[in-house]
Amino acid sequence: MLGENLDHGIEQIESLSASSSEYEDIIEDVIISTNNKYYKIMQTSKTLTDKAKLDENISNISVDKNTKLNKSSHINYLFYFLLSNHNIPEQFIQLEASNPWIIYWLINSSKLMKDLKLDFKNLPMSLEKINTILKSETLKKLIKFQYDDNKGGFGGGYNQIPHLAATYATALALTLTDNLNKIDHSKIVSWFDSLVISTNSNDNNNLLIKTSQPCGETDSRSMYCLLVTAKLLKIDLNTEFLEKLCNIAINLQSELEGGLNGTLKTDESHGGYTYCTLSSIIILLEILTEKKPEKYKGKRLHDFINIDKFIDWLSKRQDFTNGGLNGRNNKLVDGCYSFWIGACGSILDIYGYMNPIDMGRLKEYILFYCQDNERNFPGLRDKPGKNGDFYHTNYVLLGLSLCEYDKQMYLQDGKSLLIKSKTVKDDEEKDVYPVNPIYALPLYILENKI
Amino acid sequence: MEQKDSSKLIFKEIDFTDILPKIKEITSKEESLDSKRNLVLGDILYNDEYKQLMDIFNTLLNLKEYSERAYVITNEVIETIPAYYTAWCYKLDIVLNLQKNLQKELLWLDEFSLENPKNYQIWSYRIELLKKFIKDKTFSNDKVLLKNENIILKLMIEEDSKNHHVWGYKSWLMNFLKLDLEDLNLELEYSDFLLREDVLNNSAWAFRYNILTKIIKIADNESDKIEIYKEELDYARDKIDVYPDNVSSWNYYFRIIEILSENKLEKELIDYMISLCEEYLNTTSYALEYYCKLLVLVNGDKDKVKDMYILLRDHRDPIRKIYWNYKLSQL
Repeated sequence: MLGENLDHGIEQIESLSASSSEYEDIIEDVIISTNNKYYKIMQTSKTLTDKAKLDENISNISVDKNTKLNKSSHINYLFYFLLSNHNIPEQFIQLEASNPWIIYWLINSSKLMKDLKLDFKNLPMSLEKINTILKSETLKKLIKFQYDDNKGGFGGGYNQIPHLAATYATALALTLTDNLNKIDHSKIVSWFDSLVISTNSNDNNNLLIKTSQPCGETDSRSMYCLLVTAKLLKIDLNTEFLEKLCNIAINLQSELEGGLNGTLKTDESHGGYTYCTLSSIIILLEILTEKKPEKYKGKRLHDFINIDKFIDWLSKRQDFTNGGLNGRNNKLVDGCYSFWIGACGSILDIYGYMNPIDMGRLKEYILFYCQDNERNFPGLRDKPGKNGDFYHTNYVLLGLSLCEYDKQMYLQDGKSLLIKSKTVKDDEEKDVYPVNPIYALPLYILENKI
Repeated sequence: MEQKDSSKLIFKEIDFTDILPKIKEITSKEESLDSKRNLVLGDILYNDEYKQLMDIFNTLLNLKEYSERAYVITNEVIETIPAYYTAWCYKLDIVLNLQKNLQKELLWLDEFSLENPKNYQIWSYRIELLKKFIKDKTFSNDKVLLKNENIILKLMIEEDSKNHHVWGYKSWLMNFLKLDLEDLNLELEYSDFLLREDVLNNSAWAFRYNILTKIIKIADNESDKIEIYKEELDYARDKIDVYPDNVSSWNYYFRIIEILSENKLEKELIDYMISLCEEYLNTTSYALEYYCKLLVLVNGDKDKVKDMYILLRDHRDPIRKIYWNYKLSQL
């Protein structure tokens, strides 16, 4: 039935595959004719003009294929703010509600990089001494942000009300500095309860989690932050509650695009929310398998979401010209998606599916374009033309780790906290340590905490 | 600093002298905690004016004071640090406790939102105000409320047509309000307006799909639904003609085909999509990709799909080499 209709197309395909030079000629023709026909839209579509600008910026950068991570430059930048007793300048006051994040970004970034050669004139310290100082100082700082007689959730700073994102960042920072057992979190579960609101919908998934009360967001970020905090602090959550969360999370896949959304399946799919929803589903299935084996044992991701559609969406994130990843269709690449999207690929690989992203090309984007190689500026960045910052330094380094240990990571005993990396010969040449894509922490940090 | 006499505290021309002892209590608590610390560890530098503002704010918050002066101070904190969520939470409590005019509050929020389009808090605060409006029946009906909300949303989308926060709120609003066909058709027209501005705006495509599903839900019968879907196929095809190398328009087109295939996909529609793909086979790799999707969907010729996957892998879409190999392995 379809044969006749296909003939014409197949002829063209065959002519295209005939020889590569012939192919190039055809493509050239296509580009010329495309330019004429679509000239106007190429000047007026913001999507296309933004992309053209970035492509030009990138093409102006001369690339040295042997570029390595500028470790000494980045570590100086991180330790300047961590150890030298210099305040962050006043113009960064906008981050005042994100204090635990700053600590997490800085310490995580510094602990990701391997084989640091510490050579600071004003800082004659061993790495061991640095870790000891960071441990006690981090605890003293973060404990200030804990609410409810220092037993509940954490805020973004002193005198700030507890917030799930701040609590999540705090839990990560405490894990990094081996301080988890130093805090009293006996009131955290009742705080979690206070964040749960019921919706009027008639279905079974009639709840939402707010990041804070009385105002807060109710997307999958709040779910992910709550679950990771509970996992790290070994908090036992109610089974019925977890099942409801699971039902919400598995119903967030976009029918149109295939990404896993943050609030409604009818929203536009987005890399950040997709990461939060995917990681939440993984954690929820793991806990529910333990709690309710009769229903969840042997169940895997593809029993709950359309995995082919998801992989399809994920595979469209990589830019052909520069190898970087974007977070949505027809958007520009951004270094931070090396993690948010890169981690989705790694998680799929670890959980027995496949990672459609070319991690080698992604690594090139990171090393060539996320660091300012020409001026050897410290910190990692979104894209050329932008400055490095704490946030991008952390997530680009995490993404680099996923590239370096691609295909080496595996799951042990079905436990997300126990993801491991096989040792291979060229591990020694790597710039960063392997990381857990679900918890955004180095594996060696999590190893002793379970 | 405005104060001269240390026994008085005047800030922004408001007298806070009465809370001086409590301020002292709160700041000395922090000072004693900080005295044990040996490293600033990423503390952000404050100037004196900020320090004084926050001392007052933290004290009022601690006292749970719901007053006009607390309202002024809270706004001041938000103007200084839009992401300071604690102030937003406190502001909501103050506004509700003082029974302030919420429509005026919304006007303030509109102006603030235009200046801080990437902020998270403006939306959760807005949602709380909207819930209150519905509860109090402030607006005569949902239609009026939607019209009102669309003014600010259109302005913000004009500034940044892919702002995910704005779209997230708009999508929430579409679910929250009871809308009729007239409202939905206006929204469909709006998505078309945006796609005429930039046919590659994926946010506008996703929004169009959202509205389409709502229109389908209230359609009378199956044949009406199919007619609506067919109109959307024509729509997407026109947009592919405008600029073929666009994943959003191909994806939308194919999603409609996928929905229609849940019953029975008419041969006419299959042929039509094949002709569309063939027309743009050399112009864009998406023509090949969605050609394959169609053939897989209708159990078409596997060899032909295989040829096209190989072509995509080796020539037309090599960045997705791993993905095309995976698709080959699935055949």
